[in-house]
Amino acid sequence: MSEKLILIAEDDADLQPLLVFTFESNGYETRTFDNGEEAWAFLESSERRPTAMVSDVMMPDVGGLELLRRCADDPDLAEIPTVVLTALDAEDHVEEAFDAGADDYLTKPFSPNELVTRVERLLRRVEQ
Amino acid sequence: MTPAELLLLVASVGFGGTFVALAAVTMGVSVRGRRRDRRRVKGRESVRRELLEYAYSEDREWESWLKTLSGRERAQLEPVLERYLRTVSGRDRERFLELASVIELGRRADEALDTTDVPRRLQALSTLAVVEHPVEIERLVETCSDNRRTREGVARLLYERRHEYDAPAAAGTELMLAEGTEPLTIYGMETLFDLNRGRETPLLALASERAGEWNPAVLVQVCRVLEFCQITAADASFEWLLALFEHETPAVRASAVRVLKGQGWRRSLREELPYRTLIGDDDPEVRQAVYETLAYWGDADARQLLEWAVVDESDPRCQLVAIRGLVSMGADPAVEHRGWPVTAWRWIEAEFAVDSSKRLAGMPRGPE
Repeated sequence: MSEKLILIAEDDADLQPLLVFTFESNGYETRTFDNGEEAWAFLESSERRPTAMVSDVMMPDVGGLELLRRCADDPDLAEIPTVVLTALDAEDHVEEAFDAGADDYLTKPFSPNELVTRVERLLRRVEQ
Repeated sequence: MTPAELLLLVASVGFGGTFVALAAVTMGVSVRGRRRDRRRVKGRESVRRELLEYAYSEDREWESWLKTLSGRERAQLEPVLERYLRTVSGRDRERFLELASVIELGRRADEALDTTDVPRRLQALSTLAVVEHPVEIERLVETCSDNRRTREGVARLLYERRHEYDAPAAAGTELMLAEGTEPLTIYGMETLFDLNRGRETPLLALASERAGEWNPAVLVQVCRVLEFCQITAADASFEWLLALFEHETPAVRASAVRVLKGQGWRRSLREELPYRTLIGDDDPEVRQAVYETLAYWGDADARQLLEWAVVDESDPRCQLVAIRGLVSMGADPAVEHRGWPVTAWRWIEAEFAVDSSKRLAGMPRGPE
């Protein structure tokens, strides 16, 4: 089992496997969730803390920004590097995501290679 | 049993039998649909996995790979591939484009433009927007001008592939407003905005020539789009817009005024705005638009008119817009609220409390 776990919150059934494939081919383990509520339930109950998170914004029940806010309010989870991956490209949306606790923001269409690079850059920063 | 009772019995059995038969048919159709959906989902899951593994492998031989797919997987390949072409960019997208070319996704979509079936043509336009198959603007216009939705589809394609065409914004804008008798869909409006939000605004030139032919709903949409386009060309023509201030439909007059919000820096245009006539308009929507525009401009003349409106305007919503304008221009409510209507002021207070707790901090309470 890989040491590095990426939590993926994405409700797009076609995109989820692409994200899994991208991270797993780069040596990461992944856990996927269709919405923020499921991801939050995992974060709350699991003893294993993800190394990083990639989250969509618009998801049913609990969206990505609410998930980020919940993590930001929890001292155990607040430090997990998070990349928001969304189709929303307006300045307001970007600001809102950073305010909610995002460490990086990538808009769709996106390059999977760039996503991995950005996550790795965040991880290096955390390690330093 | 009397004949009436017999008739009732036969009718009851008939109705009951029909009901049971209909229920059985409904159940059957539903079960079949569910099975079909399940097969489709399975096929899609399976083809996604296969596609991703193969797309990232070395020495790809797409033709050989295609032969390994089951019929169910093959049926789901195109929707999955199109999804990835829409979502993925960069080098990864190139891999998916290779496959699109092998299965001739673009060529087949191009052929589908010749059908009369509107949904099929829309699907084809949607496909052509993401593949690299060349299609001339003339062909798109020739095959898709007959219907509002297909015209909007062509305009979207021209926007998505704008780097491949000459003057795509002008062509798309003209096509969408070719008739001007039917309002655009919300997607159409978004496309119209996307085509016109750059350095050039061909919509402005087109409106200058054709605004007189468009129906009021279309005029409102055009004005709404222009309100948000950043029009900076020194020679931009707004004469046609000034004529709309006398249009018989209040919504057109109001939306025409709002176009000028972002154009306050054009001194000559400002001087041509007949404020005093417009703030005497019978329709409060038009007056509101004037107050919003004045507040946006925010100069001394604007302030004077807003101060007048707060006291003398007959419509409470217009008063509210005027007060909002004054506050946004820096009016100090603690000093200036005395002449303001209490109801409007309370509303402003509530808005501040909800909307902007930072701005509210330290602000004095309004009149009791």
